[in-house]
Amino acid sequence: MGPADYNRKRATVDKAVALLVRLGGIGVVLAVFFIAAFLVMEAAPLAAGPAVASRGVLVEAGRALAAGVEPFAEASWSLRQDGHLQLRDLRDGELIEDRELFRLREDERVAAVRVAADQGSLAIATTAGRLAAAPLGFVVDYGDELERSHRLEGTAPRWLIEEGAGPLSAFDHQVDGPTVWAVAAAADGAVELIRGKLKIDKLSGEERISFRKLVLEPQGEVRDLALLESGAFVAGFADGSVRAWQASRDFKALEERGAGAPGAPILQIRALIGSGSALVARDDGSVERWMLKLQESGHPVLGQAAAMPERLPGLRGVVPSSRQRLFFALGQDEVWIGQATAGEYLARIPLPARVRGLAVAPREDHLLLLAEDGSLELRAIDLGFPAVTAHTLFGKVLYEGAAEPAWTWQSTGGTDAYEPKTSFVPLILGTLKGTFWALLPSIPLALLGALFTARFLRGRAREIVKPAVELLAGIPSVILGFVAALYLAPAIQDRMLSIMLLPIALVLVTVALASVWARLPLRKRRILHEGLAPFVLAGVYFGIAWAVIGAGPWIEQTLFGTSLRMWLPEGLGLPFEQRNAAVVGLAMGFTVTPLIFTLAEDAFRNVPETLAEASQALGATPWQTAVRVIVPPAMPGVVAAVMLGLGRAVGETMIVLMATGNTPITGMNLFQGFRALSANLAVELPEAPHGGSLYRTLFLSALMLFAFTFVINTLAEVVRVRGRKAL
Amino acid sequence: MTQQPTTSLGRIAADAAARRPRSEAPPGPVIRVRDMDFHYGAAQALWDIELDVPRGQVMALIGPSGCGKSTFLRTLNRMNDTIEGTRVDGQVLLDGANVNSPDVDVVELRRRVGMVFQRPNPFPMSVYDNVAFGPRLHGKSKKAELDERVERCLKGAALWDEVRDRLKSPALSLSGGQQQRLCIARALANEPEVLLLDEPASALDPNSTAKIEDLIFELRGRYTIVIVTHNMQQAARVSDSTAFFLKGRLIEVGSTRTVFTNPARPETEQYITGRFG
Repeated sequence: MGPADYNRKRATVDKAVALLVRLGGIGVVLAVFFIAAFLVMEAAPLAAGPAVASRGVLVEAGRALAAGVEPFAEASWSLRQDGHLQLRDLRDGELIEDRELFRLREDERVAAVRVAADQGSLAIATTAGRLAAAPLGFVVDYGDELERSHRLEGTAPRWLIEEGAGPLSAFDHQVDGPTVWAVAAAADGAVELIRGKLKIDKLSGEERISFRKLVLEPQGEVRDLALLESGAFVAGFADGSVRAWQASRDFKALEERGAGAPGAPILQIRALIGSGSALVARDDGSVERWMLKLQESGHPVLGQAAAMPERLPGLRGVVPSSRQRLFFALGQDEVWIGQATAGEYLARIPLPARVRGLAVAPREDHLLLLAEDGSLELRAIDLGFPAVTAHTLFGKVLYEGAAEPAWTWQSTGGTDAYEPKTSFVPLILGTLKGTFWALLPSIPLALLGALFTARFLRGRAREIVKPAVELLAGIPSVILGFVAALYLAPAIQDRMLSIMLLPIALVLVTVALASVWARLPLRKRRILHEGLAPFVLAGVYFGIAWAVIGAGPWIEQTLFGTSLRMWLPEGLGLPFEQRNAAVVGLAMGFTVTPLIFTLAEDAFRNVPETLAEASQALGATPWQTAVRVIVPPAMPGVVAAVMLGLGRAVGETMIVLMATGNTPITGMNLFQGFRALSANLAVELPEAPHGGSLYRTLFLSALMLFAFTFVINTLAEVVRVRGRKAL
Repeated sequence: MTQQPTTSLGRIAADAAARRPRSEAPPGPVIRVRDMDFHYGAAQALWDIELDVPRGQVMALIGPSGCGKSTFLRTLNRMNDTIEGTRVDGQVLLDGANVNSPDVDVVELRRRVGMVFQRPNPFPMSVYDNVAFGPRLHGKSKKAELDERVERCLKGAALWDEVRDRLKSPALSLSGGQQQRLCIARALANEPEVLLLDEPASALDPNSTAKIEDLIFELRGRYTIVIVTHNMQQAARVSDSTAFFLKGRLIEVGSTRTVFTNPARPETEQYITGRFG
């Protein structure tokens, strides 16, 4: 092979390697970019508002009092004045079924219909003042081609008031397992609370329902009523006042549960899904959310939870969602979609003027508009993720059953009967808390250790220490978390004081030793050979640590008369948990300290030896050299090391997951656990329904985590590169 | 009787000696080295060194690479302490006191015996802070006092006129030659008695080298200077006396003029005439 061939080959290899390296670099950048893009894509739909199709399917249904659709939104039901329930196929407009659901007397008509918030039942009041409720169920039959056909479920209505005394001014009903509740207001203002309990005779299998009633003397002109949980109801009056009562536990009396100040006359009151709170709509177009807030006395008291910010002109009614704390407010020629938890309107949808009522499909994928002329229009709707707004993520929210607005993370997997609480604040605070307690001991330990190893330790010891510490960083964090949760947490719960005293003791001993040492005559200092000093010191430190940890329980007894973990809750009222931030701080120290140590050690060692030599030749002590000559130019590298440690602590998952108890609380108490963003993802993502609002909320939190660590790491790298250029 | 210089180096030495003011009486030695051996771990680097450094004069240490002249220089302010496993036997006396005695505070020793290295190594801080570094180490922090000393030392190092307007700018922005003079100013700021220069001009261009040599000439008399150099012309130009090291032994020491014109030992003659090294 001639030299020309050789040169050509050499050039080819050089080019190939350069290309390969470039490809690798581009690949890494692309991977990061794609991860970010994926997170954004999964989280982005949260930001999109509700969208409604501008046109839909139209069918003629005749004059109906109320209408709705079955879950597939392929058939609609409507209830007529004569008590007949009709089922119509929305695909072809054909009448599928017409059933006399409520058997009315002669001259009796249905006066009003009320569909339960979960759309599982409906109730009617008749012109005679009678009240009945019936389950609302549908059956799907699949044909040969798997095409669906729908029919009504065979159900019997139940009369809750069998003999009326004149028309009712308002009523509501609720089906809660085997118990049926109803509340009805007569024209004179008297309110009747009815509880029906279904009992099945075990021998005969016969169903028997037993009713009990409580009557409230007239309190004013009742405009509307809504049943809440456990026999409580809210009544709205013509004078605009809102009042609540609740049946006593033994169902012998009605107890008042507070009142709201008068305002504009009440238009409607509707219980939200789960019956934890009720929407109050007023004639002036305002909508509020009221609920029973638990007081310290143990009795709930009616209070306003949220008020919608705008008044809707010409408000005609509100329809609560059957899945979440959302409602549709029907105005003159528009529908407003309102978020009841956060108290904000998400969208306004213009409607044809002839619409007089609306219903929402059970899956919330369609709106059914009832027109004046008896026609029904089915429009597709995409609500997006209305439960999640900036306010629910970051603001304090008053949730159902709570006394005060709070930042709460309490997601719900499948059911929405419980209000989903998705505040990022406790998670962010948890992450910061874990990071803080992990970095607090790690930063001084790692930096001083790095300075010592780089500039004070000599010979072989130095070549051993660094790889040994780096080896620590290689321990899988799941093992650290496992050890922390199962061994460390119970082992140190009685030695918390020792853990806190240990750094103080070590610093004091060091200072004391140093001052004694400095006073020794030079000749005496030769006893301790310089190469031996670190090992002697290490022995001393181990001894101190052993003594402090051993004496911990004794010190706690002497100081508090009991152990710290008993004294904290009893003496200070601070909770103490076995799996707490101190345990996590210690365990995370094993991952963060080596990282900071090794990067800082590099930074310290990269300061040219010639500078140290110059300093020493000028008569600087090793410490003066370290502080004045080594540390300042190493500072960018040190800052970068700390920032990377910070990034690591923020993203650390397994240790915080296993050793904290994962309670999403807000607060920086060292002796309590917390829940970090990362651990929250690990816990909840596998259980979040794909594409649901929890799923997307979690992706949003992942995006935040990604952005945070990305920014931190980038900044660290920028600082480090700048520092290297300056040196 | 003075012999006529036979070599060009000898002529340089003779010219240089002629330019120097004659000291009244031969000065006493400030450093006396007696029977000194030096070991790096198991390897011996210096054997039986006996040498006196006269006060207020410039002594050049010459010899081929690896002959031990830098090692010898670093024994004078115990810079070898920073290297692990080194051992010194015999005596290095500074004003009669053994610098290796356990009672000696190495910090004070290095204040009295300043050192300038082969490559300029200013600290990455301002010109002013570089010069003030030594005094600050030793507890001087009054601004007026520091200002005065910084100015005096920069003037002493013939750098003042070039940097008076940029005392606060980074030392690393100076040229290589300026940086080396700054290092000399930094060493002077400790008010040392002895200044050790370890090949101070070998990393500099000829122009900067000339300035350094002029500076050494200026400093002579006020400070005792020991300079290690590879450049024999430089040794001939700047030094009063010259010591020739070979393979860890001191072969010959004497007045520069004598060493370069009439060396006593054949190895010296071979070295200065370029036969080896």
